[in-house]
Amino acid sequence: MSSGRSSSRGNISEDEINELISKLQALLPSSRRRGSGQASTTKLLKETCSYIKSLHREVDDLSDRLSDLMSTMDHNSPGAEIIRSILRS
Amino acid sequence: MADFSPNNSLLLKMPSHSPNFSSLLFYGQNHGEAAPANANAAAAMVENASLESSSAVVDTSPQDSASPMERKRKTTEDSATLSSAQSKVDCKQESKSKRGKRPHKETEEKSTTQDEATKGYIHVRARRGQATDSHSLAERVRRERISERMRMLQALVPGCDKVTGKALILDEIINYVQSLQNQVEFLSMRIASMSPVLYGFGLDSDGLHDHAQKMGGMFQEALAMPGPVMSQASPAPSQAIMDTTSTTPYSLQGQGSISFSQENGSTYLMQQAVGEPTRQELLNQLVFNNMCSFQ
Repeated sequence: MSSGRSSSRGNISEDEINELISKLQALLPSSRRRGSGQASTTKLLKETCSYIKSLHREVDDLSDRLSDLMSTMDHNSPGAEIIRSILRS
Repeated sequence: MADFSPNNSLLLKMPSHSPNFSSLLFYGQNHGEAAPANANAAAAMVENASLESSSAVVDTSPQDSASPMERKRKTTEDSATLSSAQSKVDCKQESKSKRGKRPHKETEEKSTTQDEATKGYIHVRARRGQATDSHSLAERVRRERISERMRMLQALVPGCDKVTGKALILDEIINYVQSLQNQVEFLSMRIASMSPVLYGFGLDSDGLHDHAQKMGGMFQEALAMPGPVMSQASPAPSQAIMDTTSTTPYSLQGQGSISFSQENGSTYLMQQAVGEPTRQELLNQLVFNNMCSFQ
């Protein structure tokens, strides 16, 4: 990720901001499904907000599932033994 | 709206701004200027009142100790001027009602109105925000909404409140979203890998153990992975992956590189999620990618 966003004169130009905004738009899932002609900044920011929240939830959910899987595995299966050896090391 | 009854009627018309009205009357009283000047002041003050939800304008300018409410009841001569200003005020109010709250402008407005009170009761609006036409007003509202959303995002993204400047904040947000996405992908891959490990790949015991060793690296990463990761990945690690393909003991190696190129994005992103993974771990990821692609 390049850090050269601000121009050298210390002033952040409109173009850079617009570029950042379009980048953000590209990241959002809602922008991928339909033709992303809509670039209303307000809506974008709001979607980003909800997207970040949903990502948080998803990460938590996946982490919980992973930890559950690891703890509830069949202790005699080879997989469990592998996991145990990994945890030991 | 030209009601000439005493001051209470004005209060009724604008219930939420009664203190401001009292301040209007206060001004009229104190300075005893000519009626037109009073009307102008009243108009200006009323407009300001309609814009600001607080009554800051009122309380800062008392030159007497008497409360504004008392003054309101005392004055009667100002009611006429104020009511004549009412009609002016009303039409202006509609244009300004879009503005909403302006906490920043409060202090500005306080000083300006106090100055204006002694001078000519004019120019308050111009001072306030350089916005006299509907375009600028709408623009201003939009900008406020955007900055409000940005503040919300700043609160969401850790470490973003130390950054100032729209572009920097946007940059941070973009990084954060990307790393969150990578994290999700990483976690889901691990979870997907758990089941196949349990049920076996169909490899012989040595191969399974060998493979498990590699998977183990990945699991260690998963366990050691801290909270939200905000790493700045450089292109160099992807080169590391390219190098490790050659050391893959599996016969899938040839296809491995192909699948790697197909999953280049995801693998590269996965690196970002774990910061600086070791080459062995990168190899594990790559191997796992290969395995997944053949299931």
